[in-house]
Parts: sequence; structure tokens; C-alpha cells
Amino acid sequence: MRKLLRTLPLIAHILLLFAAALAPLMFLVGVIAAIDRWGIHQRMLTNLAQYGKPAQAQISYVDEEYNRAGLHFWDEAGEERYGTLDLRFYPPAVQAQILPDAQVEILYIAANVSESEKTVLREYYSQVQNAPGVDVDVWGLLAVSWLLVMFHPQFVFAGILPFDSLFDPAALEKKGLRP
Amino acid sequence: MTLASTLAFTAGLVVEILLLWETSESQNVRPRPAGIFAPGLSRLQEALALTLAISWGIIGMVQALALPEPVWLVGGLQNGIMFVSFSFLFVFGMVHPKLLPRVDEQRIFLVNLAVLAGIWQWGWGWQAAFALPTALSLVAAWRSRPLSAFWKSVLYLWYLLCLFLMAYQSALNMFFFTGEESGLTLWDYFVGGAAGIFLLLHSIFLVRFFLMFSANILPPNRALIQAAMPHLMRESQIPPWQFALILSVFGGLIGYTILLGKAPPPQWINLLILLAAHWRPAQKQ
Repeated sequence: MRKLLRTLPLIAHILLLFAAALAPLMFLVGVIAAIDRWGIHQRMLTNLAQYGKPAQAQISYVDEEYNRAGLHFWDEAGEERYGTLDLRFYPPAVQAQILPDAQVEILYIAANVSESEKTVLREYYSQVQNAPGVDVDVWGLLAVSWLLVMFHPQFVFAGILPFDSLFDPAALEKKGLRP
Repeated sequence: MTLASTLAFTAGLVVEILLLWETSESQNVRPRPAGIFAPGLSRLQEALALTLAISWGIIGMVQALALPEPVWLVGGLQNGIMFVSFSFLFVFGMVHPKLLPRVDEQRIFLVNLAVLAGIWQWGWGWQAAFALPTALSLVAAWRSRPLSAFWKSVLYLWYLLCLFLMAYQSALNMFFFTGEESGLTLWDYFVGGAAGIFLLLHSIFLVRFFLMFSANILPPNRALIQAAMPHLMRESQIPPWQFALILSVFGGLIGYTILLGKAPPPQWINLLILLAAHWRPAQKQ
């Protein structure tokens, strides 16, 4: 039992090192995801500012897994269109009212441009404009991977420094690379 | 993009990759194999010259003949560029950054100046944000004593951020316009391809270097960043007269920007950045 307890920190250290080996890739994925989501959000806001028109819409479905709702409405040309509503921009009290068949006032993008399927609630437009484009989950991924690298940065230096020197500070000193 | 502009973009991309490779090889002490047709050049330099000559010959021919350009050919070529580029960027930007040219404080200052000219039109907020780092990089460029590993890492991080800003500004829009819409020449596409791959390579490496920079935080890890910086930054500087010459060109560009109140074309900025990164003093025999 004592031997097992003595081995536990070593096991934890090995698992942490394994996670640290994956952390640079996780961080890169997080950065790409953050840039992508920020870009999508900015494009939507730019197109809403340029082509936004008000309309009355009816909620078709609510997707709780992806936190969005589908809706349909008639544009100013009288054609029926379908759009999506991202629910993460709105307070919980408002989200609770977004139910199938509910009527909402929206702003939609009245042009055939990117993100034209996206709509926002007209009453909360300024809130959407001020909302961060990147979700908390992406920030969490970036923070966790960064923390892993901060404590175990050896794998980030692989390919630049000799691998045998990455885990042995004494090896760095022997090669004359003293801090 | 037309076929000729796609080929020009591809040629720029390939030439820049060869140039990065050649710059990386020149930093090794191993003797390089001499050229086959021109023994005075290394084999890579010869390959670079041949690639330039052959690619512009093909581009000129395509432009002159004005043949029909099937969508599958142009689209296929663009998809091929994207696939090869992304693979190259991931391998040499994130995994094994051996092709990144080693820079020094002077080159970083020159890149800083070029990027400052490039973002001048972004407004006084950005100009103010650039003021202090520009001043500090100038101090670093003129110092005779070498910087500590920590300050080198700070300077290098700033250098990568500057290159990322240029990549963000260009957004490689030329890749998505036709030749007629964009008003760009074949030379612009060539420089765009070369600068694009250079800027994106450093932008990808910025992600990795930001993580490397984190090693400065905990004392036990600082030995790693100290050991890594000599692989990224060189100790030797450009000879003073060459630095003064290049500085006068860059200073002229900044003056042009300020006095005329308009930004220089991005192609000029990109060329200056490539010049600063690849400039090599003549080797003494």
C-alpha cells in the first residue's frame, strides 16, 4: 500500500507530461477556433450593419445542444426565408421565452452574403454587438493548454533543442547552456 | 484569379520557400554543394535562379497566348496551392521550424519600421501602441552589448506579432479576386505569394513561440528559453554602413507615408519585410 501511495505522484507526473505533449496542438486548435469564431461574429455584425432589415419571425425549433433556434420569416420582398438565432447572446430569461411557435422580432441580413442565415433579436441588437465573438469554452481550452505548457514547456522546445536536453537541466549545464 | 496570376502567386510561393531553405542552409557551417551550371553559386541558389527564370517564362507565355482557362484547371491549381501551403505551414511553422530565418535586433527594427508604415492608416491608437516597442527595438538595434535571453525573447515575440499584423492586414485577399477586379499586376501576385507564405509561416510560429515565451515565467524553465534563443536570433549584426543604407530606404518610406498622408502599397511593405529578413552581408572569402 505504501509503495502504491509513493507511486501515485509519479503516475500523476507521467499523465501530466502526456497531456503537456498534446498541449501545444490543443493550443493551436484553440487559437484557430477562436480566430474562426471571432471572424464569423465580425462578418455577421458587419453584414447586419450594412444589410440588416427588421422582420417578424416564428421559432421553428430550439436546439439545446448547440444553443440555437431555427426560425422562419417573410422578407421585405415577401419571400419566405429561414434563419438561425444564436441563443448564447441573450440572458437566460429571454432564452426561456424562445420556444417553438413563439413570435419574435428579428433583424435579418437582406443580402446574399456570408452569414446571411444568421438573425438577431431586434431588442437585443446592441447587446449582440457588444458580445465577445469567442465562447468561454474556447477560452477554457486555451487557458488549460497554456497552463500545461507553463508547467511543462519541454515539448514546445522539441525540434529546436536536442531532445535529450529537454528533461535534464544538468544536461543543459554540461553543454554550457547555464541560466 | 486568372491562370497567369495563379501561376505568378504559385511561383512567388515556391521561390520564397526555396529562399527560406537557402537562408537556412547558409546558416550552417557545413560546406554546400556547388551549382551544376554555375559553380560560383550553391546548388540551392542555382535552383532558385532556375525556378525564377522558368516560372516567369511560363507565366509570360500563358499571359501572351491568352488561352482559354477552364475552371477545373485554375480551381485545381488553387486547391493544390492551399493543400501544399497548409502542410508546409504546419510542418515548418509548428513542428520543425528549421526554415525560419535567424534575425537580429537590427532586422527586427527594420521589420518594425516597415510594419509601422503598413499600419499607419489604422489610426493614432495603433501608432501610439507602436511608439514604445519601436523605440525599444531601436535601442536594442544600436546597443553594442548583447541582450539577455529574456529581452531577446521579448523582442522576438514583438517581431512575430508585427509579421502577424501584416498577415492580418493583407488577409491574402488577392487569392479570391479575379485579375480584372483586383487591379493587381502579375508582379503583385508574385510578391503576394512570396510574402504570404513568409508571413503565414511566422504567424503559425507565433502560436508556438508564445508558448515558448511562457517558459520565462517559472525559474526552473528559463534555461530552456535561454538555450533556444540562439537558434532563433543571431549575435552578428548587419555591417553599420549597410544598416544605414537600408535604414535610409525604410526611413524614406515612412517619410513618404507621413508627408503624403497615404499608406504605401502593401506590396512595397511586403518587399521591404522580405528584404530585411533575407538580406545577407557578402561572405568574406
